[in-house]
Amino acid sequence: MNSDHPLDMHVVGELREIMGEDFCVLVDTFVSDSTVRLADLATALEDGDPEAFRRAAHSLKGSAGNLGAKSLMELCLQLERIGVEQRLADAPPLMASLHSRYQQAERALRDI
Amino acid sequence: MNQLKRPRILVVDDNPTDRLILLSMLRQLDYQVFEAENGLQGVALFRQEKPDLVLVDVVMPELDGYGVAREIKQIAGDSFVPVIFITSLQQDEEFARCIDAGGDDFLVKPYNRILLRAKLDAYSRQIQMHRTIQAQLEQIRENNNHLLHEQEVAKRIFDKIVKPGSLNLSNIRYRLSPLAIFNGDVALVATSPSQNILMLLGDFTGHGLAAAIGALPLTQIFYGMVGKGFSLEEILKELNTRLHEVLPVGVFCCLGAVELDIERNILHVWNGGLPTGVLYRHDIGEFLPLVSRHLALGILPANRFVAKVESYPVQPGDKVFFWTDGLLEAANATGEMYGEERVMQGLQNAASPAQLFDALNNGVDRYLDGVVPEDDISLIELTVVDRAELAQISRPFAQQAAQGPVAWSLNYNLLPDSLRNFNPLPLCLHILMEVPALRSYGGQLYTVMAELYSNALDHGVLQLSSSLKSTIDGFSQYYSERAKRLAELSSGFITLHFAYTGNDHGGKLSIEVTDSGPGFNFKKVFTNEVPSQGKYSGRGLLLLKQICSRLEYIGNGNQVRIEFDWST
Amino acid sequence: MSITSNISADGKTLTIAIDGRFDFSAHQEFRKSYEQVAKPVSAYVLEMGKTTYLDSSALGMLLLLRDHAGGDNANISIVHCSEDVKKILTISNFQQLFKLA
Repeated sequence: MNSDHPLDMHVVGELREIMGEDFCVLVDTFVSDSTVRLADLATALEDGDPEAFRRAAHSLKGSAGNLGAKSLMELCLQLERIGVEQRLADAPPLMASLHSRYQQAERALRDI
Repeated sequence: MNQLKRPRILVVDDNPTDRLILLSMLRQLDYQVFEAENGLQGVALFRQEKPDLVLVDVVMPELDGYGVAREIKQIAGDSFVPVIFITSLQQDEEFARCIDAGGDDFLVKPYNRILLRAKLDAYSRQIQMHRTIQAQLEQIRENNNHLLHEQEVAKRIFDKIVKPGSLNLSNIRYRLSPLAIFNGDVALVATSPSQNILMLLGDFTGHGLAAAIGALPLTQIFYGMVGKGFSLEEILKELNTRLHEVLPVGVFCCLGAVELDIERNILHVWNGGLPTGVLYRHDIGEFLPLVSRHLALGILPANRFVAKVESYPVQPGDKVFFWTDGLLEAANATGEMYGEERVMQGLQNAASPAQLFDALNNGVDRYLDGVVPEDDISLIELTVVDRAELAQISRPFAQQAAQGPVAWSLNYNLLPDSLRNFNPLPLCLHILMEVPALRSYGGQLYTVMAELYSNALDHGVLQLSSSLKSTIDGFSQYYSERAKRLAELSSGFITLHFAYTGNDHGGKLSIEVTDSGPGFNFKKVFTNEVPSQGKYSGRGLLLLKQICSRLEYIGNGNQVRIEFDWST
Repeated sequence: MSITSNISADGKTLTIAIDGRFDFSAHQEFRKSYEQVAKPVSAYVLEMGKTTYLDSSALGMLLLLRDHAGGDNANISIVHCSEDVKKILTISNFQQLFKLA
């Protein structure tokens, strides 16, 4: 898949229609919520809690999907599976990628 | 369109982004929205706002979507509140789990606007339909309660009007359910001024108020006319006329009726539409069928109705039975009806005449063995008694303290048309009862008048011979012939002459009856002390001699005069 | 319970067949069968060969038909009754109002 743009503009287009003036509010909400989720993921990893890890990944996956951040969403799906299958050891290598994909998505959203 | 107006939707999702997007979508679709950020809040908000539909995320901390769904469904109770799960889970078995958890549907993230709208529209329609049906059910329940209440009130009114009369006479036994009238069954017994007992058992078609309504005119006419001394035939004619007027086409009253003439030991019977009744002759132990020979009351117009009764000689100890078809059609657990054969067998096998009623009554209950019959079982037994055995005699007229006429006379001339269609005796009795002193002798006076009048009519004007009445077969022949001659009567008359004088201490009433007949050789007949014309016909004369202080035949014998005295 | 009806070739006689129990549940259909006739008929035949049972509401329905068909001038025959059904009709003396065959 791997497109150049971190966002699916079709989805974003629809969102702008739906949210209208409140699109910025949506982006702000996404940013603040995602920040929390990312922190939750880190904490869960430190605590060795696969269930908490799964939940955080699931949630981030959901909102990423809703905002058209496809590649971010796919990575979250992987992380969610890791949580379900209790393979937390497999997580750390992916965390850096997670953060960068998130940054890209956030930047793209703010640019709109 | 059958849609809810501005449906109210509750969104329960712990993800703020998702929630925001969904709420915006819903507002755009013109829904009124409420939001909760976790399961517990969601349940509390549901209780508070009672939205029409709930969208709930499956994966939430503490109380997850399934838990929320369960609680909400419980709170909603009978109301239909669709709960739609929001899930990003991909596996099929997760979808199945959603439905198993009591949810109605699921929505997949990321949200698809078109799908969302379609689902919500569909659920809107369902909710509306459900509410319409609930409202109708409520209405039906209310109507039903209303009807039941009305029936209770009606029943209380009916109980006051449709009094049992003399059902508690000691020679009557009966079975009637407390709701008999509402099942169309009526049993009435009353005693006439001349101490005849009249009894009827009626079965109106249908159930409920429609069936019960007919009981009102039936009762009022019956008691009114019996009290005035009308004969069974006259009463039947009037009953049919009134019911024909009042009841709609298709509604009628099957009726079995008897008049027991205690003095003459004659039983007059009329059966229109009831199952065959029974006359039990206790001396020979035989059961004579009383077959329905007429259409039920209310079907034929007055000019086509046949009130003709059948007359049987009876003796004290004989019994008459009537029952409604509820008895024959009572079905046991296998659905087999009791039937006429079992009824007759029960009667034949009864150990004694006193147990005949129980044979009927208990027999069917044993057969039913606990099964509740669909139709009321009503039955009645009348035992022929002589006057001495009657434990209770009803007084036909109320006492009045007013002063009555003390010296008067009355002439009443009846011509063929009147003789054919009219019974003057109730009116005459009514006049006599205007004399307070005569009121306690009403029964006897009526008996005297009836005897004199019927002799004048039967033997004088119609010229029937009473020797025919000395045999059982001759009986019905006699009455047949009587009816024929009366119908063909074109000339003749009967004159009644009353004269009374009296005071506080005593009085004398004389009654003279003259008929247009040839008379008879009374001197010849009266040389014998005991009437020679057979058991059934001579009793009348004996009776007159017992009641009256004086009895004489005048002229050709077509004129008879009696005197009746009273004193303190 | 089923009610079927058909009109004779000359259009003058309506035959109504009642199969099964003739009781209150037959009310609507029975009425429809004689009310919804295109042209008035002059005679009616009630085919009761397969009628298993007749109750008092059925008797009432017969009276309604008779009223519809002209009351005293009605020409209604009831045919092929079983013994049981015939007995019910004779106890009620309906042979005074209908032709029983």
